[in-house]
Amino acid sequence: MAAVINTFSLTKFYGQSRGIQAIELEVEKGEIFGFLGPNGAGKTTLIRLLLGLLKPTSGSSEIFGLNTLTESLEIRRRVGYISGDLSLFESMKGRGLINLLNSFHKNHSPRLDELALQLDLDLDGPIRAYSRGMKQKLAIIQALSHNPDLLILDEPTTGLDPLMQQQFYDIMRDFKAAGKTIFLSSHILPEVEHICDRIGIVKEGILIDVENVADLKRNKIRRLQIVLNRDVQAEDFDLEGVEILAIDGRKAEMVVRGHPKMILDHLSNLPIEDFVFPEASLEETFLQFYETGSPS
Amino acid sequence: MLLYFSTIKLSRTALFTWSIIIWIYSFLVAYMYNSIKDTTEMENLIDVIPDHLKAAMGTAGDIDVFIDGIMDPNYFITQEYLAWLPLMLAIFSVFYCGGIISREAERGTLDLLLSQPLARKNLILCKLAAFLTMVILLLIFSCIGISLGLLIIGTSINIGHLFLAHITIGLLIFSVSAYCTLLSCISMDPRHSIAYAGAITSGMYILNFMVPTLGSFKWVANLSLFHHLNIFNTLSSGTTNWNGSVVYISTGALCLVLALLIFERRDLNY
Repeated sequence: MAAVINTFSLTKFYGQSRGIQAIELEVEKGEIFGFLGPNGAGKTTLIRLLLGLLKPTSGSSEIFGLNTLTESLEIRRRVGYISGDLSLFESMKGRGLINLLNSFHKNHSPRLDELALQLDLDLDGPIRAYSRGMKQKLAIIQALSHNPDLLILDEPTTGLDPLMQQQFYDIMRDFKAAGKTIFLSSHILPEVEHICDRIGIVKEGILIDVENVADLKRNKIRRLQIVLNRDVQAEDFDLEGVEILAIDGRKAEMVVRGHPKMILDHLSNLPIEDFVFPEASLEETFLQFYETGSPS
Repeated sequence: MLLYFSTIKLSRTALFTWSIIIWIYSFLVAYMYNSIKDTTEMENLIDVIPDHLKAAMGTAGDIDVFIDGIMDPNYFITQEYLAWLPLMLAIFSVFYCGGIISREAERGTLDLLLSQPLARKNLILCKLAAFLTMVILLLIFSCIGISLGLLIIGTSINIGHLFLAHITIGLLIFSVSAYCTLLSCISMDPRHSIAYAGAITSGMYILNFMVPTLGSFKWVANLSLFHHLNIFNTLSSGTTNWNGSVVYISTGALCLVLALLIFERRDLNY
């Protein structure tokens, strides 16, 4: 597949302060790529570099094969962007703002009202009267209304209620189904897990890993709590990928890495009275990433 | 073009307020001329004013003309109104253009605009053009106000000269707005950029007042943009200080080019 976003040892320092360091990234056409990291990890710096708002200290980046520094204008014609730090012209009306922004694209999209209807937003109201969630919807509409080929989203669901989040995810899936690409920066793990195909994990400005979400799910860490009808012995769980966290009489708590089949087979040979094996979450895996730089 | 019109629309309250102030002020000053034009006591009163106080009133160097010509409507309009109009418009420039970019950065709307296919230079030019359009509108209101005021009291001045004087003021404001825009592109904090623009503008205005006290250092007054204005001459005889106009246009153009270059090359990090 053709790469939509390419970065080549992209580095940004703010004076002596680190922004991002030597980021090598490739985002393919038609995928939803999640860029995951805690606050201050460098997510927004990368997005601002891609949009040409910042100049790299060294390295370079391309979108659609165009240099983000020298051909930024052409790139921005084909990109929709939602900023994490949302600011709109408060004294304008919703429709006025979208028309203003669309005028730069020379494209007054017929999708405007369709999107407004889908997101249940009155475009003829003054923006200053909008709630945080309504402003976020307006930002989503402005990002989509000129029919871009790439969406760059920085914490896009902030302020949306769960119902609207689901609608937003549906819109993203439709966007992807049309063969378009999404680059999503987030620190909300369930969101990333829910809609992304691949994830890049950034820690202190360095891209420490890029993984398929499906692979991560297979390898991720799960917590297991069990109750036996006798006291638990440490030897009971002397298995590869199992780490006992606590033993309290007949109860034990442990973390399990990798596919659950092995531990389930093992449990069938033990006098189990009860057990809790919750749905796997990426959270443990990512915490592991941030502590050790690897998922295992 | 939509950005240009939107910028004017978003500034409509400021434009309306300034228009009313300038229109009423110009009209009242012109109308007020009726109350002093035949008063001989005025000359006696001016005679007894100490020289340094006259200098502080901005009449330094032109004292004789001031005393002899106070009854001249051209001189009255210059002293009571057109001498202040550049300062009023300069203050408008400082607050508007001093934050023309930095205010957008602070509000966060700069990211919204520049994530669209909008060239940075076009953003500056569009916003500055919108501001200069508002200044032109204010100057037109000013011309109308003076003309109407004088018309009502049955006094006339040369409308062509009045128009020329306003064009000169417009050129001065162009140069002020250009260096204010430059400062706004250098500092992304509007408090700083407006403060710097205000300090430079007030410094130049005060320097122009200090001309009589500068002695052999009078040449320093050339550093003040206000020093190159000679509105009375323009209004009374239609002569223009072409050197001053060249200074305004070249200063404005230079600052604008620098603003475009700096804004084009800088990181938008705030």
